[in-house]
Amino acid sequence: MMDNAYLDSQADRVEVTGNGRSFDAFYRAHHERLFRILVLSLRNPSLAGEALDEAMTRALERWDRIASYDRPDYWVLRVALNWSTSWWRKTRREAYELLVEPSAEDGLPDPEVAAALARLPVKFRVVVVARLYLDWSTAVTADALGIPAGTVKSRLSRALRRLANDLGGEQ
Amino acid sequence: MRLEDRIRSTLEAEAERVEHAPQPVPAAPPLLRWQQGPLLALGVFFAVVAVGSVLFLLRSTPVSPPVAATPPPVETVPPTTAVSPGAETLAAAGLDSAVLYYPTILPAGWALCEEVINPPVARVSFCDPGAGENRITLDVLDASSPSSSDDEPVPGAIGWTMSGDRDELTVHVPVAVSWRLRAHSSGLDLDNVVAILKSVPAIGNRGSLIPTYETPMVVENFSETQLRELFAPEESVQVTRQQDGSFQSVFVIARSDQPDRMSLHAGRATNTDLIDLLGGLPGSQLVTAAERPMVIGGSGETVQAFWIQRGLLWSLTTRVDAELAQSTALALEQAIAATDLTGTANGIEAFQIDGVWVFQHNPEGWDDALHSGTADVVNGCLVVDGTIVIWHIDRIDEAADVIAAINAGGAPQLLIGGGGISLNEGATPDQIPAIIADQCPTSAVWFGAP
Repeated sequence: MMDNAYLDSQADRVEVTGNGRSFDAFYRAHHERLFRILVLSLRNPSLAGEALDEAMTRALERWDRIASYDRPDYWVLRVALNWSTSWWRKTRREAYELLVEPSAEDGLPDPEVAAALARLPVKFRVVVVARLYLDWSTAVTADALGIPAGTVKSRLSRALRRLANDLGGEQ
Repeated sequence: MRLEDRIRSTLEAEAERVEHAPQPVPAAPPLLRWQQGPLLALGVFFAVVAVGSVLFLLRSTPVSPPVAATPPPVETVPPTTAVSPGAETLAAAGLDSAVLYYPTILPAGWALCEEVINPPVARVSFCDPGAGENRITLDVLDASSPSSSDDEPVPGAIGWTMSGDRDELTVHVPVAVSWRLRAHSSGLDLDNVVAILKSVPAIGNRGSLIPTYETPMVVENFSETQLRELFAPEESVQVTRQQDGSFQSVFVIARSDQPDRMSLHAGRATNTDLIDLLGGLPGSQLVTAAERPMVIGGSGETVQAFWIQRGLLWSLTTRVDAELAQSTALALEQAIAATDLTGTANGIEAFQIDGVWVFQHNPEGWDDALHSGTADVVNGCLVVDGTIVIWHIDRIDEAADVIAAINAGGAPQLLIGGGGISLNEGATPDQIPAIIADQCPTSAVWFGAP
C-alpha cells in the first residue's frame, strides 16, 4: 500500500510546479489518492471510479483555469462527491450490495467498527475519512470539502457520537 | 483502544483493500453521461429495429415497458388535453397510459416503434408502423445537457423552446429540476407536437405526482418495537433497521414465504421526487390504486415502488415479482397512514462541539419571534442570554462558529429567530424537553428557526 505520506509528497511535487503544471502530471499524482478517499467515503468502488472519471474529465476541460487553483485536487474531490450525490438522487439505485455490512468474514481487523462506519451517512463519513484517515486538520478538511470549519467540527462530533452509540456507548 | 484509533485503523485496513488499477490519463475528455446515452441508444436502436421488425410481424400489441416482471394492471390516466385538430388527426394512443413518458394521444394509427432505456436517459419513438417515415421521438435528458441557443420560445408554453420546422421539429420541455424532455418530430405541426407532449403524464398530469401536505413523521425517532408493529404486523415478517451509508433510513423486510428480502427506504422528500424518477426508473408507471401518488418500475430483476407520504419519500426495492411489490407497497402505505405515530416527540438532538453541549432540531414549522443576547458557555452548555437554544439544523454551523469564538475569548452577540418558553413566563418544568434538562438544566428554552 502506498501510504498517505508518500501520496502527499506526490501531491506536493505537482503543487510546486505552479501554473505551468500539466494535467498529465496532476492526474498521475492525485488519481490514486482521490480514488481511495472516494471509495472509503462512498463505499462503492464503481461509483467512486465513475465519479472520479467525471470530475477528472471536467477538470481537463477547464484545466487552464483549474490549474491556477491552489489545490486542484480539492476541486476534483468536491466535484466527484457532488456528482455522486446528484447521481444517487437522480437514479435512486438502491444497490442491494449496500445492504450487506462488512462482517468478520471480510477479514477486517475490527468488523464492528467497519459495520458502524458503513452505516454512517456519506456527508459524515467523508469528514471522518478526512480527519482521521487522512489526518487533515479542520481547516484543510473545510477547504477541501468546501464547507465551513464549524460544519466540519459538528459533523465529526455527530459522527463520533453515532459511532459510539452504535458500538454500545464506547467513547 | 480509543474509538478514534479503532476508526483510524479500520479505515487504513479498508484503504489497503481498495484495488486500484492505474488508469491511463485521458487524452481527450471522454463523453459525458448525457453524450454516452444517445450514442448507446443509437447502437441499441439498430438492434431494436432489427429485432423489432421480426417481432412486429409476430405481434401487433404495443411494446411493454421493460419492467422486470410485468406490473399488475394500473388504472389509466385520462388524457389531459383535448384532441387537437392539425395536419394529423390525433387520437387516443392505445398505449399503457400510466407510463410516465408515454403520450396518451398520437396521430391516428401511430404506435410505439422504439424504446431504449439506459438510465439516466430514455428514448421512446412513435410512428405509423404501416407506412411513412414520420415519427416523434421523446428523449428524457439530464437537465444540464446543452440545448441550442438558437431555440425560440414555444408560444403559450412557459419554458418550452423549439427549433426547426414541420419537416424536422425539436421541442424542449422542462420537466423537473433534473430532467427535461426533448421531442424530435418529422411531419408534425407544432400544434400537434405540443398537444402530444401535454398528454404525457409527467407533463400534463404533473399535478398528480405532487403530494399534498401531511403531518410529517420522523422515522429515526421510532423505537424498533414501534417500527415492527408498523411495518410487520404479521409474524412471518421480520424488520431490521439499517443505515445504507447514503442518505436515508433503511428497513430490511424478510418474509418467511419469500426467498428474497425487500428493502424499504425512507428519506426526506421533496415535492418533485416522483417527477425526478422520470429518467432514472425504467418503465416508470403511475399506480393510481394508491391513495397517494405512487410510481413503480424497474430493470433487470429489481422492481421498485416509490411514494411520498408524511414528508418522506418511501421506496420499496425488491426482487420479488412486481405484483407482490405493488401489493406490499400499498399495504405499507395504508399502515403508515393508519399509524398515530409521528416520531416528533423526541425530535431534538443533543451533541457536543468542542466539548460544549448543543441542541438541534428540524421542525416543519416555527415561530417568527426574535431572541437576542450574548452567547456564552455555562456549565458546559451553550446559552444565549441565559437561554438554551435548540438550533435549527440549517443553522447548526453557526453554533460551532459561536463556540469557536467563545473559546477564543470572544463574546458573540446573536439574533436568532424562532420562539421560546420560560419558567418565569408561565411555562411548567415538564415543558422543558427532557433531553435538554438531562444535559443542561435551564429555566428557558428557545426553539430556533432556520
